[in-house]
Amino acid sequence: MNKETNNAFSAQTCVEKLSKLSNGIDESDLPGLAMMHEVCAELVDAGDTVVSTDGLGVARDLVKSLEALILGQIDDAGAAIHGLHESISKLTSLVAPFSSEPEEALDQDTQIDESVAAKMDRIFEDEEPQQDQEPSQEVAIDVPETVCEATEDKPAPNDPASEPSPSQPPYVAEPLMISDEEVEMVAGFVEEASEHIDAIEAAVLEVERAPEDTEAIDSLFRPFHTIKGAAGFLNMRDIVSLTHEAETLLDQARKGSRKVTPGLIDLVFEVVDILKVQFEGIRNHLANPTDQAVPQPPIENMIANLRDVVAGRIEPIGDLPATGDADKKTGENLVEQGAVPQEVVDFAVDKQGSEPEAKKVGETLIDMGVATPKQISQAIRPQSKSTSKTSGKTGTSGADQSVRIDTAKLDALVDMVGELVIAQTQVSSNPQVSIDTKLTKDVTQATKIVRDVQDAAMAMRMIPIGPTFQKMARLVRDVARKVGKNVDLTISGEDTELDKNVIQQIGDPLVHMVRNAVDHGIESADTRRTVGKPGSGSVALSAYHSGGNIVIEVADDGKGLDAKVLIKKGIEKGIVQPEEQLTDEQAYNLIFAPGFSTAETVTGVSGRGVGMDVVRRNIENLRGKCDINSTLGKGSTFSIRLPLTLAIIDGMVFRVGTERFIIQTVTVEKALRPEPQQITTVQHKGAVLNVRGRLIPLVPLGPLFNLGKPIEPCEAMVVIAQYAGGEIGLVVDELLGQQQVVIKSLGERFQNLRGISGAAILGDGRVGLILDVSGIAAAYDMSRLSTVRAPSVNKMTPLDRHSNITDSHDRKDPVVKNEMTMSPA
Amino acid sequence: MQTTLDTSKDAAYEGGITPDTSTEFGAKYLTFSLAGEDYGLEILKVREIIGIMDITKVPQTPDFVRGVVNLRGRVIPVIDLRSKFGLADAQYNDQTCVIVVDIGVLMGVIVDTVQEVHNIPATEIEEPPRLGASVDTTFILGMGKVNGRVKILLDIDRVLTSEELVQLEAVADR
Repeated sequence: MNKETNNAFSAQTCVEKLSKLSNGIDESDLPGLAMMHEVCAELVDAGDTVVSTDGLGVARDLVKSLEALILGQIDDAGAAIHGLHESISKLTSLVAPFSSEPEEALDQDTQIDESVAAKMDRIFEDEEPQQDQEPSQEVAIDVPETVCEATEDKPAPNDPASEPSPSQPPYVAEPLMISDEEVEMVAGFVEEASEHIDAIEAAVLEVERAPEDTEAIDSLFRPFHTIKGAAGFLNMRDIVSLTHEAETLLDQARKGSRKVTPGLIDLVFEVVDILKVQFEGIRNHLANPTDQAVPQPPIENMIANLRDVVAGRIEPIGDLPATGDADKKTGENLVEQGAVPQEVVDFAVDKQGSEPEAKKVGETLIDMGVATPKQISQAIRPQSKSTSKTSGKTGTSGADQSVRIDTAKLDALVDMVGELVIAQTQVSSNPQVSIDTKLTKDVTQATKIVRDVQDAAMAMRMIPIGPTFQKMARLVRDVARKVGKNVDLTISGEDTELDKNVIQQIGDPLVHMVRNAVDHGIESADTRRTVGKPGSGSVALSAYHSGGNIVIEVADDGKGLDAKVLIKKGIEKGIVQPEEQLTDEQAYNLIFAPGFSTAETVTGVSGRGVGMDVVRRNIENLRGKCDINSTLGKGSTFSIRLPLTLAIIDGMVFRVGTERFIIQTVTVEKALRPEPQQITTVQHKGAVLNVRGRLIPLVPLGPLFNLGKPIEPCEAMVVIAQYAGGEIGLVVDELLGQQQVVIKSLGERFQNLRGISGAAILGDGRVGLILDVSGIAAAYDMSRLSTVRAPSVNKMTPLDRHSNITDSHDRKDPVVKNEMTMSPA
Repeated sequence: MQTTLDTSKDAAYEGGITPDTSTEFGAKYLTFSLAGEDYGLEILKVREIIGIMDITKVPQTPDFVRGVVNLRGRVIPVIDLRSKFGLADAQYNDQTCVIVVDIGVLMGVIVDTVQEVHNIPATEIEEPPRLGASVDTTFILGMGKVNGRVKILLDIDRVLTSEELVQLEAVADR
């Protein structure tokens, strides 16, 4: 009886929701209709334990007509909507009496039902001509059977107390086909869904931290529900089933009938991981459409497992299905489980090494399709405790206050505003303006507004870094678990805004650094205690503004970097010469060298030496810098210094021949007019500049770019510029000043240019080229990148060619270009 | 600086006959002169016509790539068609035009003078003639006859994409 009341109650809520939703609905309100459809489907799913057989009939018809409406199959939408309202009011009256006086209500029901069914039939007449042959009663008679089928097919009711039906058939996956018409919708859905998945991950961590907080569970519930609804709409049955089961489980937790255990959290994470793979599959399919079904990971085991947990047959304890060993790598565990042969794991490990973003072995295996996420998750199941503190909110609020805009439109706006600023500058510098005081005032006012517009346009590209940090919370938890450490993550400055492009590209480097901090930085709990630190380590992620830049810091309180060990490793690897004296800072920078690893043993998490060099490259691509601060035994801090936006740089403008070039101010160490005694020529062909004991090779830009004769550095300027491999002195004709410029791409036709990274429109409307220092160095000195060592005579050989062309400076001279061909492209 | 020449306006509005689309190359063509020869290119490829302006040289490019210009905030490459066809360079003057063409990306093409827009039906277009090995006829769609004169109709996509703009190796072989 108790159970019945429960069910009736939920049916009533369903119907209440329905009537609320149906208020003012019309056929164009697809989301509303979809939600009604969902509620109705839930009602039908719940089966005849909830409503009377007749009520079910109405509900089923309602589902049908809603479907028809959504798909636009009904000509007379008005009548259909009217029919909907009628059906809902019937349902209301059907459900209400059922809880109190079920017997009495039944008779009445039948009558109402027949009229509704007749009504429905009339509506359906238009689009389903076969159906109008059937007498209306038959619909009602048919219903129980169909409903039974539906309930069998669908997952068990939400009530945890309900008996697990042993006859429930195992879930059978259905191939997912995406028709051409759906492509756009599916693409939108997938994009949206990945945001929901991020929200889920953040919420799960929140729930793990505060298991009693039903609000947290609620916020976890919502994104699951949204995914389920949309997936149902798009007929993605696997995703619907999976999210439905997860929802059922969470519902139990929400109602307090199930405790939030680490096992439960793990289970939810597993579901999330499978969902990710599912969406990845769909995304790949959309990118390379085939006539085949979309490849989807098998979810039968997961569904079965979830159902068992929901039904109380098993506890969601993490190690239940696991056979893994904490100290072993994912791959090894998989081999032991017999899921994957050794060779495949080896291949995947190789593949993993070759991929820049260094996926986990597990992910690679899933990508290759040889292992299921389930198997992977079992293999990475080792138990360890981890807590993650995230001070952020779960980030769903405020979503409705934003508008999605195509970035191309934004870029066009920024371009146009840039032009506006130039036009404005030209107007205001017109001598006529200063004559007329009124005009002067107006132009000044307009200038001010134009600047504001520019700022506003630039600000539109900025988004907070919070969500990126939230993702790291999941990573810290997973890695910490895998390596058996306790790690707390603290996050600050998540409101700091960065250019969207920067945010997108900073994710991967950040993953590496956070993973390294947890895996290498933080010691094991035992070691920590012996040196008097708290057992659980801490990793702090923070972001803040600093002098026109954004700084992102990854700090850990682990063992810190040992300069001596690094130098020793460097010598072993041949990166450092034994006689070299490196400062601590230089030693720390060794970890950015390719193939350099501080880990004694390679683990499944990190330590292969692939990574930090990629991190550095990624950061440099963002025109950023990475600094390391470390105290042995106290911890390390990695600071990434990034420009506020990728669209604008602070540039130094100078002239070479007739052309103007721009170099990023951060790369410029200094600009000077050298004294003759500072310059040492080599065989009168090459030259180095002695700046306080450092010998800096001089690169004559004019000849290098074929824009003029070599000029005497002492009569010109030398710009000393730094790049990853060292520094060079650019010999230029004249410095013109410093200004912020909007970076323009030169387009793909010019992408192979060496030493030129882009263009900018200067104040007079003409184009200036932006220099790329390491490109110039590579163009100039192909044999190797210079190091901190003083350049040797040998290194100066490229200069030979330059001095040969002293008097051949016209555009057609092939000699300089000849030199470019020798670079190792 | 980016004065749109009057010729472009005239050219764009002249000859409002619907293009004859029944045959392969019958269409409207923008005609221009280059070292005394008359050329034409499909008007649908033309985005706009601007006067010659300051061009920023780009290193490591072949001769015919004159550099890049600022087209209202977009940086686009500009090539000199004389140089591309191996004709003698000419001094730029107020007749010199940059025809901005859209071949997927925008590119500027420097020509001596822009003439007008002609509707050339397919019946008035002949196959490219035999011109010997020294002329690359793959650039030529056909020879269009207009009022007794012959216009060389260019396949501008081929002209502009036949060579890499950044030529590191080819230059060395010269």
